[in-house]
Amino acid sequence: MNSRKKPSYGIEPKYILMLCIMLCLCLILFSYRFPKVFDPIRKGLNSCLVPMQKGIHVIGGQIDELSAKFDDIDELRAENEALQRELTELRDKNEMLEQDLYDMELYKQLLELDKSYPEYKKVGANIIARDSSGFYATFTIDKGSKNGMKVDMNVLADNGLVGIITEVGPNYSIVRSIIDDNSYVSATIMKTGDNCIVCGSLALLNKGFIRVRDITINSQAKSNYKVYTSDLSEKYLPGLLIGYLSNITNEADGMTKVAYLTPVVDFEHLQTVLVITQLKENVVTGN
Amino acid sequence: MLAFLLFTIEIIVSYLLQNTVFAALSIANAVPDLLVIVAVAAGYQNSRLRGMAVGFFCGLILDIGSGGILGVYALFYMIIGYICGHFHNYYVQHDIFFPLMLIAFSELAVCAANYVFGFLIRGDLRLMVYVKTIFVPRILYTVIISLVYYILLDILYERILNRKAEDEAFLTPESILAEDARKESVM
Repeated sequence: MNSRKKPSYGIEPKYILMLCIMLCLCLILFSYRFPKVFDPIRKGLNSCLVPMQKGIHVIGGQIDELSAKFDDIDELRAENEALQRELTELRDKNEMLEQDLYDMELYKQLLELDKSYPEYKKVGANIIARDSSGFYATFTIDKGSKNGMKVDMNVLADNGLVGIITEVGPNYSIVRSIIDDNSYVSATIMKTGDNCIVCGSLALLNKGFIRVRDITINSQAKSNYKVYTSDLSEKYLPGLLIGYLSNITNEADGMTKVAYLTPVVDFEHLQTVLVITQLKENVVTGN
Repeated sequence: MLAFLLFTIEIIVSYLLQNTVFAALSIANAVPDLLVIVAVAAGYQNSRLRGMAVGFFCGLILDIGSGGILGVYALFYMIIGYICGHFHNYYVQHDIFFPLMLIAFSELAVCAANYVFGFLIRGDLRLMVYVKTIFVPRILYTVIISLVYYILLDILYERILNRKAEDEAFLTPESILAEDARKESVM
């Protein structure tokens, strides 16, 4: 081993390594204590990468479209027929629901509850990058502070809750999804009115579930009940559908119940999301 | 200068590929860690110092993208680059088996560090669950992709940095004999 070349600059690399380790530790401590100092660097570098990520996203979309053009005509015809049937069924259902809605509006007015779940203003965004470490479920969208995004805005996809914005740069935002281990959402089981907490769980995700805990022990909740965000949540607007309950069991200590939740959103194939541009505090104070 | 440009482009391209293209091509929710391949390759094919520097910037770009504390990944990838630089002594051109092992172990170290500092300190003891769902797919996918990606990096280093095989493999018996022969012919 003694025939290793001596470096031309005279200092053994292991001393340089020790020095660099010290510098890294200082960097970690510094950025933990003073996060604002590194924000401009972080946001600047991220915003340089975002146009490239957007470009790749666009190219990927065009390749998708191109390959879709080669789909079998018969397949498309069969799919069309199935969709038409589904459409007629849904139209019938919709008419019945419209009638129920009309009645419900009447009752709400009577009980003066008509301001409870207003229609929220939404903005669409594309997902341009995902966190690749496998341990965290965060992704980047292509709208930032220039488009009016702010931290803590809720993010939806079609009909369900996806997550919340945790960081905003000029032309990008980072969203932490509800399946991330660090995510906790105050929720309500609609049919019974019980409150609970929906926690993300990477470990369960392979089976398609995330966790629900702190359900009151006397809860009458059963499988397939819908779970919505509750009024008690600090950051999440109320009335957003999260998913369906299943596997309700008693917690080991016998004081609460726990359950699994199947999220409504298909996180694996998510491409576009909707961001609600109202923050919870603004809704509460009526701004 | 050329080396600096090459490494910068490699790190940025790997990061973008990892976050966009491979995120869409994920298998069992796993994405290959191309930056580990870059860090290991930089150390193994060059020197401890280059491995350290490239590893630091690989980790730094991951830190910046992840929105957490700066320096965590940077420290770890820097150490990986340095350790792989130690193995530069055993570098044989066009060999894939040894660097593949290095990449597998480095990726295992990264996953383990992620688990320890992200989950274990919060009291999450379900190591076997994470091994099954995250470690194994990620390490396998990274190793499979490195069959192509590492060879690509090897060819890039060879062509662009104009390395000659004789300069590097100074521990093989042939090189020592060749050096002796050269010294004798000079004298």
